[in-house]
Amino acid sequence: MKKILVVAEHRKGEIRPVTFEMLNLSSSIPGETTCVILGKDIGGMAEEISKKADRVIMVQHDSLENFNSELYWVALEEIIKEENPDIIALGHTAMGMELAPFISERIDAPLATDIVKIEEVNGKIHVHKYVFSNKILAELELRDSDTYVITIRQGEFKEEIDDKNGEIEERSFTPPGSISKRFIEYVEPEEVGVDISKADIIVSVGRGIEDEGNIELAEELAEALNGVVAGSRPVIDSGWLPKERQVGISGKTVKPKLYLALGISGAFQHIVGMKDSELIIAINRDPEAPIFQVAHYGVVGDIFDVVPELIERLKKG
Amino acid sequence: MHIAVGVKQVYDVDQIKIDPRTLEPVYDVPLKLDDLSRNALEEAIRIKEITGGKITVIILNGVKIGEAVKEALAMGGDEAKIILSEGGFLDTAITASAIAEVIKSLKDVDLVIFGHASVDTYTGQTGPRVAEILGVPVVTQVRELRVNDDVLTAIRDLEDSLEEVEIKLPCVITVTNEINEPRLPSLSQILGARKKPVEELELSDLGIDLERGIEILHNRAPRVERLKRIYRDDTDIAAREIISELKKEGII
Repeated sequence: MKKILVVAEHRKGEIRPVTFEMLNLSSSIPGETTCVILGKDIGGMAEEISKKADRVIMVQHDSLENFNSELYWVALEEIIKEENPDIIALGHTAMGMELAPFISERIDAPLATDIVKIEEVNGKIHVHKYVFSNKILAELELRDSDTYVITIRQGEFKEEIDDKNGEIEERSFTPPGSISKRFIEYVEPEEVGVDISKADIIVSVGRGIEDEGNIELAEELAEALNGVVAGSRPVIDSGWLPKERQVGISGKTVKPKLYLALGISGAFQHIVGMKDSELIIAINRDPEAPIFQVAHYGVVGDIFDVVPELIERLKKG
Repeated sequence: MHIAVGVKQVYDVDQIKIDPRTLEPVYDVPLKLDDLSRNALEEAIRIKEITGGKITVIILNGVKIGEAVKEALAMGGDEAKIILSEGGFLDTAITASAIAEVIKSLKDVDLVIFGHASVDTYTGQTGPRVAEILGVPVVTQVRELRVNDDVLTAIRDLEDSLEEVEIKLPCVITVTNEINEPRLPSLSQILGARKKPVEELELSDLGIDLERGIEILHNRAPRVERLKRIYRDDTDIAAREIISELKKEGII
């Protein structure tokens, strides 16, 4: 049995889903999970987490209300030393990725980031992660160590474990006298117009659309399907579609009945936001585009050939 | 202000093909300066335009280094430190130790900038590791940065929102691609880059433990499990069957 220490993630009073995915790790690596939650007024969240953890360690302090890697590390250091875990798990997120490399350096433990699978093979820890823009899946072996640090890709550890109803322990925290980093505020992206997360049919465009003028083609197809147009990050960054139409990690997560990906290569940041769609059809010129890994139907071809063909057939009925 | 920028040379991943027999990647593609390294460098140049100072470019690579360094100097780096390795995979812990050693030897660095992850291995570890080794704070995934004397204000990317944080110099920052539009050097800048000082250092001389971290067992294209049907070339058949599938699923 391994001792797995999970660092819970929450924001604005809500537990981030990646926390529960990390608690599911005990279905990949037989072990006992201890979940650490740091924050202010977190009793309710600790309660909720305790259902899926063997133990919960709760540290409350005003200074821990919002994530600050400088303070979070100080709070975690003592717990890590006392608990001496075999595996420390964090999310491959803005929070996890500001902490994990730091922890790895401090305790001199191997770190594997953005993993999609973990297993024990002949006493060694093996992990899988995507490299080269998601085209390649690498299998990595972690060098022998007392402790390993991992960050997990969101949406990959969904196999749910049984309820555990672990005990909650509270620990105290004294912040260091001087700190050089300060949280100021959350900045919310403006919300206006169409809510793509509620659409049943989404026609989504990527870099392959080539030019702002070609968005019209996607709109025509969306209209024929009675759906809405969305886009991947390069299209939003170019200003061809408004920010609220962005699908992916820095945009919206969507689960429509149909997701039609036009000229989207499928960076993982995008795939995380759409892979649970009921039916995914991808059209891309590059046969190795990672979008084909999540698609149900794939067309290797030019969207400027296929899309007009689809529109014509739809119009004919 | 003395700014150190850690840059990386990577394979052009858009061009990487897969060997259909072994499912392994074929590395017969050009090397280039990583996209987010350009953003990191561009941000350093913009800060230097306001505060004055110097930009030191630091790069660790095996064989065939050169173009990436020339490009970084042409964009606006003032000098470069190249850490030469024997090639092969190095764990990020080793890379970060080497870069941190070079920064320590420069003595007066105020700010270190990296891309938040590279397009090839996508570990996202180098910046925070270097910060820990140097004993300074880090802010990752920065998409907007303002400098007021020795305090930086940064807007950083969270998954579904943004946050504003304040951080004191010296510190490490890692940037996302939204932060700026990297400049293309002019011909005179490209020619001028040749005269800029470049120092080569051997990784093995830096006194770093090279047996750390993780080892790659294999790199292979993932097996596709979901795909029911893939169409190639014949758009007519593809369109016909997709429409009939949509009808069957009750979508149209």
